[in-house]
Amino acid sequence: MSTLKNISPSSLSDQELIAAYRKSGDLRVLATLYQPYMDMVFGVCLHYLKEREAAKDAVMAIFEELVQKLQKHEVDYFKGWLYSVAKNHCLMHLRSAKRLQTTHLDPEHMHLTETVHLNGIMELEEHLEKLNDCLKTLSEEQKKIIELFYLHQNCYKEIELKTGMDWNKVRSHIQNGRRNLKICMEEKIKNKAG
Amino acid sequence: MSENEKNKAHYSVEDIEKYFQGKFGPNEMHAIEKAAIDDPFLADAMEGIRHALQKQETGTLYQDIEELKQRLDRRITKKRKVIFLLSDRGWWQAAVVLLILAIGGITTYYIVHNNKVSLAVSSLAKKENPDHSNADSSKTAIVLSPPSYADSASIAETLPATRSFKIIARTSDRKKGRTAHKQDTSVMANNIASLSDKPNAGVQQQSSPRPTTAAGEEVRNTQPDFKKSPAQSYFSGKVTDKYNQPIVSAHIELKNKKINTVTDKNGNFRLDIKDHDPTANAEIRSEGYDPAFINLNNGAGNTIILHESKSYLPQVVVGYGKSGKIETNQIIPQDAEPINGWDQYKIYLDKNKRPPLDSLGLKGTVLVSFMVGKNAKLSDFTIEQSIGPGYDEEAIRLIKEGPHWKLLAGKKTRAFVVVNF
Repeated sequence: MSTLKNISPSSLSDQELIAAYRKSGDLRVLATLYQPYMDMVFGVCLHYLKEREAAKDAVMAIFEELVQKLQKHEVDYFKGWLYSVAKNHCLMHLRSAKRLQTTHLDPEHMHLTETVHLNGIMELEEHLEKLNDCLKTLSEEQKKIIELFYLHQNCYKEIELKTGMDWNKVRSHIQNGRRNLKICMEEKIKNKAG
Repeated sequence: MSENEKNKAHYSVEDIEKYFQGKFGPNEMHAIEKAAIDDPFLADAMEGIRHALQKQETGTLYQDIEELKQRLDRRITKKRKVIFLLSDRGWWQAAVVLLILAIGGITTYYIVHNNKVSLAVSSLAKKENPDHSNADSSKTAIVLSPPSYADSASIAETLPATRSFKIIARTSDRKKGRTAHKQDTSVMANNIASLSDKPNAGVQQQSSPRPTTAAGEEVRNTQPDFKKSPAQSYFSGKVTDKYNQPIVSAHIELKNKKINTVTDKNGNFRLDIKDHDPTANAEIRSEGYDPAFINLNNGAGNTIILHESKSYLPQVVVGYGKSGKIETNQIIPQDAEPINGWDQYKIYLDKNKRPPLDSLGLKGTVLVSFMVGKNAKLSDFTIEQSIGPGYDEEAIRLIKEGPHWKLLAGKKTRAFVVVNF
């Protein structure tokens, strides 16, 4: 890791850094906030722009956007907000470059933001029992894969080997399984309340 | 996990690369996968890296991140925005700006240089013009030195470059208190600027000086910032020669030739221009003098001084009227001329022209150009503008059989003659 003159890792939280930046307008603060996320921003830009040089430029351009935008907008959850800023930047760039590539958005590859919420739900102990019941409602495949992934902490590769299903399918099963579980859980909660 | 730790536990590009390259054990892989499921940001980034890895150069993505860190470091130490550097367009814009500045600098120098020359002449002109104590605040004195100029609307680009002409015009501002010198400079800049490649209408008037910076800029007779005076219904004045003697029977004519008049025995005239465009020009002509042009918006009290035409100087004017055809009575800048002068030559043409008999009685102008050699030999006749085959031949015949030509610059040159039918 190269030593940087001006950007040092901070023990401050994102929120604290944002507040500090808004107050002072000091770019160094902003850079301290931005740098840990740069890897992911780069990855996202790579995904949309499909080209390394363009992605690098975009990472810097997004930083420029932050300079202005963080002063203007209130941001509660920086990571999520940064993600949408990055995504929008890439999409705008694609549009203006008139290279409007329609990528077929495979729903299997889409990670729904709901899943964040779902993770929270899954962790709550009081729902475990309901969870078990709901698990049973899943299809065999989905159930198996969910169990392998969550209960046995298997990685995709291992699941691939165990089930013979290809990686993408494994992922999509996990997605769908989670969604179904969530719906089931919500039903149960509703019923319980009612 | 606390909020902080959660936020800080970012996976780096390096980690993700390792994941896809199978360098992680199953537990670590699981951890990433789980994180990716919950975090669309991470998932998207992983997708991007995955595709990039599939392409070719593995392991270089890590270098990209290092580079980005350096760039970010540099960025925050800069004082001002460096958006320019991020796009090629920025460089182009900077180059264009520099170019414009350079051109501006050159032309300013050019104007200043010309200014010095003209200032000397203008101080002379001042002395020659006593008649400027007129109470009318919008008086204009126009001093012309040969050669004279054509209508601003008519410039021929195909003809040889004109010599630089000096026009000095002095305008009196609305406030009479202005010093003449100041006027001269600014107006001169205006006029000189108009002269370099486009001889312009003889007279420039401004109610307020309008400096132009580009030498090539055409100063037009229509004055867009002409603000003050209400529409004038009369345009009047006096025409004199350079000794302030009145010129009798001088023609004053609006550009559109709809209105004209002549000066009386005192050199005075008046034109009714009620229904005409006040920003139009009037032409003042008299035999033996160079024509002058004046903008109409000055209303009353104009004094126009005509200068005798000296035929040894190159004649100016080129005329392409609105239709694109050469108007009559216009001659072209050149380095040769008929031995007896243009006036005599015109008389010769008028007397001797024989329009083709099978003609439809066409009216118009033929422009002929030809080479005048050292021994006054004429050659290489070219019809620049034609009205019809018979007329072109007749025009050439007239020239061939007409008065001899002499070279003004000592070298072989191309001459132009306008033959009106």
